[in-house]
Amino acid sequence: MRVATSTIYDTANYNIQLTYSRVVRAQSELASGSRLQTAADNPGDFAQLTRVGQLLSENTQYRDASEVARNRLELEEGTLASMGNLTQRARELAVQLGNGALSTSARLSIATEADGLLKSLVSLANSQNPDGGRMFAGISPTDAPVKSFDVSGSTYWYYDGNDSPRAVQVSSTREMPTSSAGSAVFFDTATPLPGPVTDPNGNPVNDSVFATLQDLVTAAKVPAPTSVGTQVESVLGRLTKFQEQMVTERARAGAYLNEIESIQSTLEVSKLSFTVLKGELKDADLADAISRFTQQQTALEAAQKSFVRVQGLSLFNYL
Amino acid sequence: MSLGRVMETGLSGLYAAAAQLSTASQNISNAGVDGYNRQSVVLAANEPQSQGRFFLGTGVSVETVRRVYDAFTDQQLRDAKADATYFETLKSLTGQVDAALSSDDSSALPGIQGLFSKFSALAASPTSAAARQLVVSNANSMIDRFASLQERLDSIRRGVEDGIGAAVSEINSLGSQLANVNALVRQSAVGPGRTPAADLLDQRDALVSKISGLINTTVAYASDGSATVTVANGFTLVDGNASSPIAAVADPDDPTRKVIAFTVGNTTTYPPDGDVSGGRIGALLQVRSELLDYADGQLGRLAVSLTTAVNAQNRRGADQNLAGGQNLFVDQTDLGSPIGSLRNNPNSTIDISARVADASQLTGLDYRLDFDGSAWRITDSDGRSVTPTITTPGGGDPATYYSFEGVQLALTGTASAGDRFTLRPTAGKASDIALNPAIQSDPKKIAASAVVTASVTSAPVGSPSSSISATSVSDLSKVKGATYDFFFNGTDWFARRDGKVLVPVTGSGPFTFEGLSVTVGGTPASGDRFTLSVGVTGTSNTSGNGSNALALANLQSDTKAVGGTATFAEGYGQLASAAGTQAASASTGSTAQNALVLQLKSQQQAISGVNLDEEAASLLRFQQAYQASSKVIATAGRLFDSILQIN
Repeated sequence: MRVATSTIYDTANYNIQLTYSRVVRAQSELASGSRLQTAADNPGDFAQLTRVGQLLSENTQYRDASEVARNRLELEEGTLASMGNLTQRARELAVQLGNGALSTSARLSIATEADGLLKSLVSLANSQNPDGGRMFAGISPTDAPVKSFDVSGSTYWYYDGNDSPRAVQVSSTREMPTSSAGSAVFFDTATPLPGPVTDPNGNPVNDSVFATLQDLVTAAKVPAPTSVGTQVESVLGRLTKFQEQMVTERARAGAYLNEIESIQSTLEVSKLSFTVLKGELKDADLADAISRFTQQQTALEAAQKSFVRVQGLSLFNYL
Repeated sequence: MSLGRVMETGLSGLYAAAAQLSTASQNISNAGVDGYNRQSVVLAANEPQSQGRFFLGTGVSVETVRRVYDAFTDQQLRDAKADATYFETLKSLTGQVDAALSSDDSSALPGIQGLFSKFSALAASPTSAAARQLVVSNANSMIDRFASLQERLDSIRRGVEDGIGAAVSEINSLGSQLANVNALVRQSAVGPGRTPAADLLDQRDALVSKISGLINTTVAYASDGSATVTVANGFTLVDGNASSPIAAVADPDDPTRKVIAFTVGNTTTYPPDGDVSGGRIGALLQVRSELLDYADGQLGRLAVSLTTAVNAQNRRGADQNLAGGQNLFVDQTDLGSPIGSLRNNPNSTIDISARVADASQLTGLDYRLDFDGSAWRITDSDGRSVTPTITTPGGGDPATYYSFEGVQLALTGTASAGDRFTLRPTAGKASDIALNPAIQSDPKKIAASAVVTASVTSAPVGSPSSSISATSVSDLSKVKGATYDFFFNGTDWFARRDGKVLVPVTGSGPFTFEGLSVTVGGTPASGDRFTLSVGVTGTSNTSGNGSNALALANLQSDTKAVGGTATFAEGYGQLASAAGTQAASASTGSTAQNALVLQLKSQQQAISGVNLDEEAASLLRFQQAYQASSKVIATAGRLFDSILQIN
C-alpha cells in the first residue's frame, strides 16, 4: 500500500495526542482521588451521587440535632436529680418538725433551711439551656416559667410557661421532646389552692412543690406547736406526690437519652454506608488508575520512540 | 531520416524529463501543504512521421500535468472533517457547561444543602441569634452560587452568539475567495484541450472544505472546474465567479439572539429550524437550543420552586417577635411578559403577562404562543402541544387567564392572526434570587415558629351590594397567602391570591378555598369585591417553638418540590447529569470522528499525498532520463561533426 509521508506524521500525532490525553486523565484521577470529576464522566452515577450527597447532608443534620437533644436531656436529667435531693432534704426537715419536741430556735432554723431549699428549687425550675432556652418552660422560650405573686401577705407560685414540649427532629421519623412542661412536673393541675386567688394570667393557682415548701416554712415559723401534726402530714403527702412526678420526668429523660443513643448509632451506621456508597461512586480506583497510568505512559513512550525512528527513514539520506 | 530529427527527438526527451523533474520538485516542496494533491506529468509519444514505407517516431511531449485525485474519497474526507469540527465545537461548549454545573466549587448543590441544614439547626434552637444569623449567611451563599452559575452560563451563551457572528463572516469571506478562485479556474481551462490548473483546483477544494466545516454545504462542479456551493439547505452562497453573503441577524421572534438569514433583493428569508445544521454553526445553534436554553430554564425553575416554597412556608409561620411570617426571599412569581415577535401585527393590542401559579409544577421549558385568528396555540420547546385551562372571571376584570404547567397568563386586548410570543418562564431566574431585605437586616423575622391559630377578616372594596357575614380559618395548614381578593362576576364567586385566580367557588356558600371559609350575606351583584386578610392570632409564648423552621428544613425532602417529581437536590442532579450526558456524548462523538478523519485522510493521502521516498526515486529516474536525452543530443552533435569532417 502506498503511504503518503504526511500520513506518518498525522498518525503519529493522532496517537501521541490520544495516548497523552489518557495519561493526563489517569494522572488527574490519581492527583484528585476522584474518578467522577464532572457529570460527563458518568451522568448516571452523578445523579446517584447527588442523592447520596443529600442523604449525607440530612444525616449530618440529624446527628447535629440529636447532639443538641442529648445535651438538653442530660442537663435536664441532672437538674431533676438535684431537685430530687433538695426535695428529699425538705422531707427530712418536715419529719423533724413533726417530732414536736423542738425548741423555737430549732424550728426557726428548720424554717430558714426550708426557705433556702424553696429558693434553690425555684431557681432550678427556672434553669436555662446553653442556648438560652428554659428547661421547664415547654416551647415558651426566654421567660422564667415559675413565677410568684403576693396577695395579702401570702406568696403564691404559678406556671407561666407553655404546656407543649420543645421538640427536635432527631431522625426522619422521630421528633423528640427536649424540654418539659413545668406544669406537669412541679404543679398539680388537678388541685387548685383554696381561696379566690387567680394568677396574673387569670388562671386558678394550683398546688405545687413550691407551695408545699412554703407551707413547711410557715408551719416551722408557728411559735406554738399545737396543730403542726396535720400540717406536717399534709406537707409529707404532697412532697411524695411531687417527688413521684419529678422521678417520672427524670425517668422519661433517661429513656429519651437511651433512645438517642440508639438513634445516634443508627445514624452512624447509615452515615458509614452512605460514605462508602459515595466513595464507590466518586473515588478513584487507585490500583486501576496507577495501572492505567503506567500502561498509557509506556504506550506514549513507545509511540514517541517509534515515531523518531520512522521519520528518520528517508531515501534522501542516501542521495 | 535526418540528424536534425535525432536532435529534436533528444530535445523533446530533455524537455519531458525537465518537466518531470520540475513536477517532482513541486511535489517535494509541497509535501507539507495541507490540501495539496500530488501531481504527475502525463507523457505521450509524438505523432510519427511517414517515411514512405514506414513511420519514424518524433520524440515525446508533455500531454498534461495531472492532479492525482479521487473525487469520492475527497468528498468523504470533507464530510468527515465537517462533522469533526461540529463535534469539536460541541465538545468544547458542552464541556464548559458540564464543568460549571458539576464541579463542587461552582455547583449550586452545596449552597442548597447549606441553607436547609441551617433551617434544621434553627429548628432545634429557634431563639438562638447565632442560628438565625447562620440561616441568613447560608441563604446568601446559596444565592451567590446560583448567581455565579447563571453568570457562567450567560458568558458561555455570549460566546455562542459571538461565535455565530464570527462563523458567518468567515463563511462570507471564504465564499468571495472561492468566487475569485472559480474565476481563475475557468480562465485556466479556456482553450481547446486545456484542463484547469491543478494548483487552482487544490485551492478551490481547500476553500470548499473550509466552508463545509462551518455550515451544512452541498457542492456541485461545473465542467469548467468551478464549484457551486449551496448552504443551509437551499441558499446559493457561491455560483461561478459570483458570491452572495449570508447574514447573522437578530431573530425577529426573539431579538436577543442571532439567527442566520439570506437576503435576495429586498427579501430576507430565515431558514426554518433544522435547515441550518452541521459544522461549527450547527454545533453553536444546537448548544444554544438544546443545552443553554435547557440549563437556563431548569436552573431558573429550581430557583423559583425553591424560593416560592420557602416563602410560602415562612409566611405560614410566626417570627421571633410573634408576628406573622413574611417572604424569606424576594418574590419570584412574577414572570414578566413574553417576548413579542417583531413580525406581529402592529395593530394588535394584545398584552400578556405571566406569573407562577404553582411553582412545583413548572417544567423549566420555553413556550411559543401562536394566535391563529381564533385561538392561541401553545407549544413547548420540546415541540409538545400544551392545552391550557381558560378562565374568564369577568366582574370588572378584563383579563382572560390561560393556565398550564404551573404558569398563568393574563391576556388583555385583541390579537391578530399570526401574532407570536415567546415565553421563557424561568430562564435567568437563577440570577434574580435575593433575600428579602427585611430578613437580611433582622434575622429575628425568620418565621421559625408555627402559628397556632389564625383568623381571617374581610373588608369591602368599593360599595358592594352583598356583605360577608362570617369568615373563618377551617384548615390553617392549607392557607397559602396573607391576603385574598374575593369577587363576584355575576354568576360565580372567585378568589384570587398573589394574582392567581383560584378555581371558581360555586354554589351558595359557605365558600371554602385554601383552608378558608367565607359566608356571604345579601344578594351579590356583578363586581362585588372584598379583601380577605389572614392574620396570626394565638402565638403568644411560643417563640421557643421551632416547628416552622423544621417545616422549612423538611422542604428539602419534598419529593414533589421540582416539577412535581423531584426534591431540590434531585432537580439539580437531573440538570447536571443531563448536561453531563450531552458533554459525554459530544466527547465520545468527537473522539470517534477524529479517528474516522484520520482513517479517511490516510486513504485520501494514499492516493493524493506526496511520498518523499517515491519522489526521491523519481528524481533519480528523471535525472537519468535527462542525462540520456542529453547523450542523444551529444551523439547527434558528434555525428554532425563526423559528416562535416568528410570535406
